[in-house]
Amino acid sequence: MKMYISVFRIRFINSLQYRAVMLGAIMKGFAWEFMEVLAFSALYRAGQTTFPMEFSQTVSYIWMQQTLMVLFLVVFSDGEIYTSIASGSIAYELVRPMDLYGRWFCQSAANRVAFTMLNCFPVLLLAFIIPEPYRMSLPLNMGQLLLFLLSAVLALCVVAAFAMLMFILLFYTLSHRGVRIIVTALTTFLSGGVIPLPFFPAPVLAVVKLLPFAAMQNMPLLIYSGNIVGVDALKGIAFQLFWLAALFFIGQLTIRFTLKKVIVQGGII
Amino acid sequence: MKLYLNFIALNLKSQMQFRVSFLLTILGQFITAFTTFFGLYFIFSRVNAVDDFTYGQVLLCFTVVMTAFSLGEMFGGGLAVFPRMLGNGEFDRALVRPRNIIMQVLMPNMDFTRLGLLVQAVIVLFYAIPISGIVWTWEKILTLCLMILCGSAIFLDYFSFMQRVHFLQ
Repeated sequence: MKMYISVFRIRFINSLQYRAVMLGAIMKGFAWEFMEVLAFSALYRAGQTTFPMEFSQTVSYIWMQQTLMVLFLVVFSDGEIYTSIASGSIAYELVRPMDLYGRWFCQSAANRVAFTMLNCFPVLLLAFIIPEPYRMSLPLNMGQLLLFLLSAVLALCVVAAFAMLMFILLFYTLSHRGVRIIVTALTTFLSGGVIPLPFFPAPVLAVVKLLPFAAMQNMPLLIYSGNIVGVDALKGIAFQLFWLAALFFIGQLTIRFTLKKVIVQGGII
Repeated sequence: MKLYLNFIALNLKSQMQFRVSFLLTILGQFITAFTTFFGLYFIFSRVNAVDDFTYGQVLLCFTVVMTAFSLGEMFGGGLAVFPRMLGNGEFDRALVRPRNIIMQVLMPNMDFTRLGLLVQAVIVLFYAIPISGIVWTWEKILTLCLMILCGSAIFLDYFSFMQRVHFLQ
C-alpha cells in the first residue's frame, strides 16, 4: 500500500511542475463554461417549462463540471503510459516488483487529482462571485455535500478503471491516436459532458443511464446540483460501486491475459 | 505547383501506411462531431426556437462553422508540428530551399484524418439545408459558399498566427 501511495505522491508533485500550462487551461475552461452558461440561459428563456432541470441546477452543474473537469476525464495526459507501451519500455515496468494494474491506476488517478487541485480554486472563486442568475449555488444541505464528495471519489475511480481498459487495448493497437479520440468522444457524450444526461430524450436516457459512463461525472454533478436527492442519491452511489467493481474485475482479468505474452521489439517476455 | 501536389500525395501515402490507425482516427473525428450534433438535436427536441432562431437555422449555422473548421484544420492543422520543426532545425533546412516557405511547412503536414470531420459536416449540411426554411436564390447560395470558404480561411489564418507566436518563445 505504501508503494502505491508513493507512486501517487511522485506523480502529484510531478504534475505540479507546469503551472503556466495550467493557468492557460483554467482561463480557457472558464471562458468556455461561461459561454455554455449563457447558451443555456438563452435556451431557458425560450422554453422555461420544458426542461428537466431548473436553471439554477444547470448553472451549478456546469460550474462544478468545470471545477472538476480533469478529475473525470477518461483521456487525460497519461503520456508516459502511451509511450511505455509504444516504445517498449513497458519491459522495465514489468520487471518491477509491483502490480502493473495498481501502479497505473494510482498514476492516472494522481495525475488527475494534482491538476484538479490547482484548477478548482480559481474557477470556484469566479463561479461564486459572478452576478446572480449565473452564480453557482451551494448544495441543499450538509448531507447532500457529503454524498457529492463520496460520489466524486467513486467517479474518479470509475474513470481510472475505465482508462485502464483503454490502456490494455493499446497493447493490441500500439498507436494511441485513434483509440483516444474515439474514447474521448464517447465517454464525454455518454457521461454528460456535452449536455447533462437528463436532457436526453427518455428512450435514449433509459439505456444511457445503465451504462458505466453514467457512473462517471454525471452522478456527482447531478447530486451536487440537487437534481438527485436523498435515497436516489444513495442508489446512484450503489450503482457507481457496482460499475467500479465490474470494471476493476474486467481490467484485472484482461491485463493478466494480455501480460501472459508481451512482445517487445521482437523479443517475448 | 506540381511539386506541392507531389508533397500532398507523398504525405497521404505515408499516413495510409498505418491504415488501421488512420481509419480509427477518421472514425473518431466523425464520432466526436456527431456527439456535438446529437447534443444540439436533443436540446432542440425540447424547444422549437431560441430567440427567433429556429432549429434549422441554428443547425445551418453550426454546420457551416463545422465545415469551415474541418477545412481549415485539414490544411492548417499540420502547422501544429511547427514548434518541433523550429526545435530540431528542420525549419532551417526548409529556409535554404528556393521554394515558398509557408507551402513547405503546410504541404507535408496536412492532416487527412480530418476528413472524418469534413464528411460529418457535409452530411449535416445536407440535412440542414432543406429544414432551414430558407428560400434559396443564387445570391444566397453564393453567400453560403463564401461563408464556408472565408470561415476556413479565418481558421487557417488563426492556426498560422499561433505559429508566429512560437518564434517568440
